[in-house]
Amino acid sequence: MEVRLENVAFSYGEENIFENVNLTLDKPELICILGPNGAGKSTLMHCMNKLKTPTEGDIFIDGKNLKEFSLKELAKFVSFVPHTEDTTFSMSVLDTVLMGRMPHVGMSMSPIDIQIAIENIKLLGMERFSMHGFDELSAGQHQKIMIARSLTQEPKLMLLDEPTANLDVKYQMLVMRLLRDVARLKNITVVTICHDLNVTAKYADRVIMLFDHHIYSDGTPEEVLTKDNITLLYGVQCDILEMQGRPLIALLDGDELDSHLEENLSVHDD
Amino acid sequence: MFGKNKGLSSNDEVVKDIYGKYAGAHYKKFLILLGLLAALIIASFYGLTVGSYELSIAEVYKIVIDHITNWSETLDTVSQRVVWNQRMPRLMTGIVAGIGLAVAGAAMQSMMKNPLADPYTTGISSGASFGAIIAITLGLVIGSASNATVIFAFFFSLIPAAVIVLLSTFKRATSSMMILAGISVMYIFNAMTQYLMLVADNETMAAAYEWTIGTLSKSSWDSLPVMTVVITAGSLVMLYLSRFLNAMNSGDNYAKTVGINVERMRIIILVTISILAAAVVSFTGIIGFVGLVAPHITRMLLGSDNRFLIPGSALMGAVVMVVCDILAKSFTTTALPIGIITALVGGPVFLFLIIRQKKEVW
Repeated sequence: MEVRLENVAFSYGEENIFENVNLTLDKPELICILGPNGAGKSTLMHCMNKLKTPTEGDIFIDGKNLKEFSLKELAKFVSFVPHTEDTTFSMSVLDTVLMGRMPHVGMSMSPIDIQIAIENIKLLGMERFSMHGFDELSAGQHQKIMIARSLTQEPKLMLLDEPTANLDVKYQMLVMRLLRDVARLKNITVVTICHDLNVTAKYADRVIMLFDHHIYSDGTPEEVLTKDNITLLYGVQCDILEMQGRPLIALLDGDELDSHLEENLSVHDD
Repeated sequence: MFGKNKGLSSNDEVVKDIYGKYAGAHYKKFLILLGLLAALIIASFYGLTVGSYELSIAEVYKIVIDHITNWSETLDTVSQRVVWNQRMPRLMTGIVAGIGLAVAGAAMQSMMKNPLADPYTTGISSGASFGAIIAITLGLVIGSASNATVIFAFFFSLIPAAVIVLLSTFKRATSSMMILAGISVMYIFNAMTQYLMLVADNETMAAAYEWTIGTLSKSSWDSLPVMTVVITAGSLVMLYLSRFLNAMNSGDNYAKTVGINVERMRIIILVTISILAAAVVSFTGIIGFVGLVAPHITRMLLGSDNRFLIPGSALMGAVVMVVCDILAKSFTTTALPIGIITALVGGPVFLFLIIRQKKEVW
């Protein structure tokens, strides 16, 4: 499946979030979107699944304009894993994952639908929790279940909004590796918003850097995660090492942080 | 739906095992629903025999069976009229009202993702109440006086529902904001209701007051068909919408990404809730607590999957109403309005359940 963004722009009234975004996503790979806070990463993702409408430009899925898709039609191709799952009244893990079948079924679930959900829970290694309540699980387990639910939707494009936030290092690595493997195994394009540069460098096939209202850099981790790019984007000094053929970013406590802290602390002193 | 691995294409033992457990959990839920239905039948069977006019169980059921088998015969004796014209419609009205209130409450809680939501805390019942009081105090007639009460109750119940829809559509309101807005609207309607009652003459005020505390004593066969049809239809619609309610419980954004037009769905659900609440309130007055408590007790038994919660709450609401009506008729010489009993008995029972619950439901 090919997803093409042509001159996409989004603004909140006068406030321009991004403009002239041109992207083509057409391979089964793990794509990480990076950028400082407020760069518009989530907004860009929300434009791809009709949660938000671009103020300019068009998005095409296999040549068909996104505007022509109903929400239900789109849900058969594109799935979404929100940042956090806010369930007041939680159901069992299996029932939660089964919600991913909604775009494909009518009033009731068939045994095959249930089988697909169980297979995806198993793929994520969560089978022993299938009959547990969703609220009984830890944050990392929640993420896995939400990914299983997303896979149960059998998408061609899977969008994840910061799936590794609030996870410890082990779970961050586990989730990212899983997403990379799932992209290949299930032949889907996985797009995720990420903040951890090293986890991105280690697992991403492609990195898209959003900065200063446009796509600043787009390519392999080696091409995008350079010393200059990171310093410009985040305003921090770093060294780029190499580990297992991938970049390893060593962040340095440099002058930029000193001046930032001094400036802010002096404001408080006044 | 489930057989022993029927319909599965997988030979994976883990998949078969989990499928079996899932099927077992569903059967258990169906059994609980059957248990609630049995409890309703037993409570109704006994409820028909309770009343200030003394009749034995045998007498009551002889009258019922005789009248059903000889439908055309007139009701000659006082006993026959008490059983068939007073107790039967009262029982049926209680059951139907319990179903309507509990289904509306369960749907409201799920849609708003808030355990405090019910037709009362969201102002829908107060709107219905105000509409009905206007019709009563002004002596309005649309075909008949009861028609005017029902129509006005329904029309005014839509106002708080519209406020919630507008807030959620244009202000992207959180569920807490919607509940707070509902409570504000409730206070406004309550103030206007009280004003109308203050300026009404004594006779009208008494009728309106009795109506505001909820009673089954005015139940009759005449009002039952409309109420039954509306509440049955509304409950079936809500049962159909139960899987959408499940998805909306995961947040509006998620619900949209599985293909639900959340704004349109919220309007459909709110209008259905308004119809359910108005259908009950306009015939029985305000019966508090059932819409809030019955869904929560059901959650403790069946979990929060709306496909089971909605029918379970319907049965639980009916059981609560029938049991409370039995208590209302049992402990006083003049039957207390059921609205007082549901709150007086329901409150402590619910507190007890909250303290005793082993698993976190909310």
